[in-house]
Amino acid sequence: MKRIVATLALAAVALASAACGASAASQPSGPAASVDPNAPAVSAKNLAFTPTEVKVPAGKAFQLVFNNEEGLPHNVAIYTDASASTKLFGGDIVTGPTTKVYDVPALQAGTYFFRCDVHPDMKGAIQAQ
Amino acid sequence: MQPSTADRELTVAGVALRFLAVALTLGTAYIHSTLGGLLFTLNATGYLVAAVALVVPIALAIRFRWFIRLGLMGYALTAIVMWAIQGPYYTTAYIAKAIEVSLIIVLFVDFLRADGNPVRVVKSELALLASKVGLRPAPAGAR
Repeated sequence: MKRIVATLALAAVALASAACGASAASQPSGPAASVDPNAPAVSAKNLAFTPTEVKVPAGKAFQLVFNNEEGLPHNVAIYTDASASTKLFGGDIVTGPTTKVYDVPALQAGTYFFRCDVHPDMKGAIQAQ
Repeated sequence: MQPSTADRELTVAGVALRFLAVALTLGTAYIHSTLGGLLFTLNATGYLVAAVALVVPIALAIRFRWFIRLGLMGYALTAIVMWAIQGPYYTTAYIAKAIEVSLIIVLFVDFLRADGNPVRVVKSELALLASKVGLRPAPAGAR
């Protein structure tokens, strides 16, 4: 019994240690080397996006500049609609303050839903036109 | 003579296990507190309260420590399942979930050491509760 208890306790410690050793693996990178000066931008602050409506070119890949202005983890993820059942693009989650440039694949003309995957109450609409 | 639950908790292994459980609970509470938003803040608060309940030297908490351990295991398991369903899947979340899995293991070991077989403990406590509300006579050896 003592051996089982010790083994389980050691396994728990090892698991927690391994998890902590993996930290900082997804630290945000800075802005991309070449950023389209006309790229649309979205900011995150006070658990909300600004603006909540973004216009992007339809039918071609584009860059999206994401300014996370607060010390919380956020991202921009694009879905077909507000049900968020079909993800079209999922940006890396970054903890601010930092700026991340996402390379988003082409969207056909239409209106799409975007949100922060960590805080689903942060949301907005993307119009591809 | 079989030592009481409180006696058994005062061994080096018992103290170490309890310290580990509290450290893991506070660790995941801290991670959730850094995520912002109502849900994460409430989750962090829940873990913080549980960490205090694991060690607070109040008679009621000591009497029902078995329930606190089981409740915290269920709480952590619920958090893991909810995360598995809706994400998000990124490094910090993986760390938090690894801590929660570790916490469940440590709590389970602590439960076995301090309280014995969980099924037997729950059955015994339910029987005691039933006797207190007059449904059946108190079981032998009831606390």
